[in-house]
Amino acid sequence: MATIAGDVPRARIFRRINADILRTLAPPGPAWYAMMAVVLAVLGFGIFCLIYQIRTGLGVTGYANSVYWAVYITNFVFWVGIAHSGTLISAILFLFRSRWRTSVYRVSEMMTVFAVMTAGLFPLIHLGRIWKFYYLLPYPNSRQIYPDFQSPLIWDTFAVSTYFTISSTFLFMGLIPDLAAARDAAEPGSIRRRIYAALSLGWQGTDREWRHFNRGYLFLAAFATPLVLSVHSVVSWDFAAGIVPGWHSTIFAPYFVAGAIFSGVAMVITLVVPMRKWFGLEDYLNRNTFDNMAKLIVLTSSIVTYAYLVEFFLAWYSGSPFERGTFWDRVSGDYWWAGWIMLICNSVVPLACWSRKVRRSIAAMFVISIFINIGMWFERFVIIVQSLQHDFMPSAWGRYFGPTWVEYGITAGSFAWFLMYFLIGIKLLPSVSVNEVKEMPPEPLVRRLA
Amino acid sequence: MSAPPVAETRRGRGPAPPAPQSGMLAFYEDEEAAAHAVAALRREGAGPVTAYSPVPPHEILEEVEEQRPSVVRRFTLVGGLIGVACGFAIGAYTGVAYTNPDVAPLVVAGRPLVAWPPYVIIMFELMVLIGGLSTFIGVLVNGRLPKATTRLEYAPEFTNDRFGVFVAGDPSRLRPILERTHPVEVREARPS
Repeated sequence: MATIAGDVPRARIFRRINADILRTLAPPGPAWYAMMAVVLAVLGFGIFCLIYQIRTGLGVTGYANSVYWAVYITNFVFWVGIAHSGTLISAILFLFRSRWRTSVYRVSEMMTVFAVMTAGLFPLIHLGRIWKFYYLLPYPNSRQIYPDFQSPLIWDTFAVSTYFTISSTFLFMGLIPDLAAARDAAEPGSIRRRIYAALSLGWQGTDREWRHFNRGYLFLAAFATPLVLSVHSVVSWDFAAGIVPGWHSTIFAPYFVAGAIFSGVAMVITLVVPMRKWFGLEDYLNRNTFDNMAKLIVLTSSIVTYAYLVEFFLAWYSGSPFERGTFWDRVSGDYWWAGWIMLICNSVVPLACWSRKVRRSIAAMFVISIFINIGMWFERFVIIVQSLQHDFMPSAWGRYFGPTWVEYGITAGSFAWFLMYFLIGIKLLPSVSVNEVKEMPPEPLVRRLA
Repeated sequence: MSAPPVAETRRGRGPAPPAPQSGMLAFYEDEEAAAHAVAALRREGAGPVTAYSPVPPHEILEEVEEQRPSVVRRFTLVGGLIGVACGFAIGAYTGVAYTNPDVAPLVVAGRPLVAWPPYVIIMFELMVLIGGLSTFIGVLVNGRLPKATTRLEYAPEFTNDRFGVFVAGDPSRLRPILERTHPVEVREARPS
């Protein structure tokens, strides 16, 4: 009889994992509906704000000379960044054969897809005339010109849409064996069974299916790895290709990629802590998982902090009065508070994760993750708004008159939009990978069954 | 090589799967046992064999794969190359082409018409996009998915807690072979 870690028969562990994870797909209870109602109410307000903005014009935002990129672009960069940790955990750690990823990668992949769906809205909302969005696509048109491929904004269109397509494909492909498990666990003849049967594409787990699946999954992971690095690099070039002091820097690509993974891991922690409690998945999303995610936070927070320091150092060392002026303004100008929120939340608070006790405390990690989410939102706000309102000439210095209530409303709406998909996703799809967790059952589960 | 063909693995681009055959189905608790059973059946010259697994198998695949990697890699390569070509083509075409044939090509900022360095980014993105999608298509085509019907011998335990080995052929001959491989259960599967 095959056993793992002591005397627990493997089949018993398998059955338990199947039951535990597929139980999360049970019809939702009142708590779920209550949360959904709140989320939909906020989303409704966000949609109202958007309609108001479309009818009235972009004047309802706080845009003024010389700040024409503000909260919407901040939100775009923030949400694209959130997406990144999902691909890191699912693809990059897969290639590194990190075993702890198995219990958390599915939910982070879902987060990736939903975060990109949220991010993709913001360039359009920011356009003002949303209905002209197709100008970004290279298609033959009556204006007889094409978008300029020298522009990072066009690279963005390609990078973000590719990222959405590939991360959805990666998510769906990894789901196929689990959807088959959901199909086989459902009542024969039920609608639920038919839906999962269709979604699982008739997967049966034969050697032929697995053989090609394993290979294809590896290749998709190998594609997703450079893709995720490219996406936030391209986003960073939206800024770095400009000459504004505070933007025009060669460190932007690695700085943004590290920041993206940093904020994304924090968001995974923020989402997973309530989810594990709610679904009773404590054995799967256990202290080891959080410990490892906290180590990622330590790593990426260090890189981000290093980038902050290098920026300040280079502003001084370059001798450029414009660079010096901008960076001095970051910590002592109109938006000094935003600059300090960024530094404290992203560089100081995560220092707590050097302690093993903190890394293994789920409550502490939850609190730290919220600080990081706030800090990383403000990082983008500082880079965008503070740099724009304090560029070369004092005569060109402007003020940002926002965020206005419309901008707040749309930002809140974007969180609701994201959470709406997330709530639907965790009820419709297995949020922990059934087949991969069975391959390497989490220790606490095995210990409890022993 | 005296080993017989292994069903569902050797038929790379061969004919469609045959009509349901009767045979024997054995259930196992772990992958090693199932892999040994596949090896034993092949030694005995029984076949074709189909193995089932609830987890990504490795030992079973070692038994059936016979050093020939999955052809999915070709889908990936071809898709990736098509993507690279498309990326360059979009950039170059939009640089050179002009929808009005009476007007000369538009020179932007004194650059050459095909100013290629930034196209590298588009080429990379489209390589990943088309390469990734064609990999997925490769998995579906080679894995014979989607399927509308399940195989005759399929049991729902194969996505839960059991590994399975199905071998088509004469049950009276196959049963003793399978029973020697320590299965949890052996049952006959025949078309109804």
